[in-house]
Amino acid sequence: MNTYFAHTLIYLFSRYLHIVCATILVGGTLFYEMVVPAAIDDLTPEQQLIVFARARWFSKWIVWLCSATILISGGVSSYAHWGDYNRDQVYPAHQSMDGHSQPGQVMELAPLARPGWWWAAHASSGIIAVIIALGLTIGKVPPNQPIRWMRLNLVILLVVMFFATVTRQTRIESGSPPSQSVEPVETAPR
Amino acid sequence: MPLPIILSRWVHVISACLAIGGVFFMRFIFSRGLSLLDLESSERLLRQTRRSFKMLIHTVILFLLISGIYNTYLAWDKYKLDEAVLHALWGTHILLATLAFTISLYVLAGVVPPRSHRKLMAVNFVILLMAVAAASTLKWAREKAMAEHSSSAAVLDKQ
Repeated sequence: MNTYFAHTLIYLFSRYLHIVCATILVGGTLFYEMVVPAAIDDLTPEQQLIVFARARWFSKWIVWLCSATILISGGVSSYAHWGDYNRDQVYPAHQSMDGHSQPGQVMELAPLARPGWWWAAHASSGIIAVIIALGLTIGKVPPNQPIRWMRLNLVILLVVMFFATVTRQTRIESGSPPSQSVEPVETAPR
Repeated sequence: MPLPIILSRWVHVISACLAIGGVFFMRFIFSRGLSLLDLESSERLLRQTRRSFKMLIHTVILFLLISGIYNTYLAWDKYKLDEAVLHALWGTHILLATLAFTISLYVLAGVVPPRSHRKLMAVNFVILLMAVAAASTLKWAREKAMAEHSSSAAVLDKQ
């Protein structure tokens, strides 16, 4: 099989899995934090425990599977973009509006425009969110105040997604080195 | 850094997460918990959950439409770089999303769920996954088209 085709397929598939697992973790956390407590308010405490315990048992496997997939697919995507994340220079393809940058000219990246820093923020906060999600499903009994932990995790997950969006934007804006962009067929998939 | 672009994409991704994850947990996880209750309590709880979930889904659809239109407006020039591939993927994404919205609105309409609500929710989950696949591939194809365009522009500049 063509190496470029195989790399592209693996990269696309891993990104797809990364997004799908993130949707299930974020959507599931919000569902348990906001939708379920309001719905089960009228039930007796015993019935509430039954519903929560049963749903927790099933969601446990989903959370573990999604966490493992997110870590693996995140590793694949990081590997594909590692060159961009380690770069501290920008390669503009066109002349800027103010005339400060010319095509082919190498410029220093501002600290906030470096994709590597945003990637580090995304990865570290993502690992914290995964640890909290796993902690909520470990053991036969949920921890004290599970709803508060879920609320905290939901906020962290939203921040993680913000870091991911900024990472992507800064990666695209910083451009590619000329040697990489002349023959895109030979490079790692973008 | 272009903050509006980042914020609109962030809102779009979060809304998609809430829609897909909510549908998955509502259909596949929460229904397992309901199965342990007696029939009357189970049906009452399902109706109450549907009511809360309906509010969430309607809000999410609104945010998806607003942020999606804005994202398309921003990226429309880039879609002209490789019209055949990019427009096909964009059209597929829009078509699947419209289908998913329609099913969601139908399943959650009214006080009592339609008879086929379980099957429709499962179908909707698969359609949403396909919409994500189309969007993910569209993003990759767009970045590839931009990279190829900028490299050819750089070569022309050197000549």
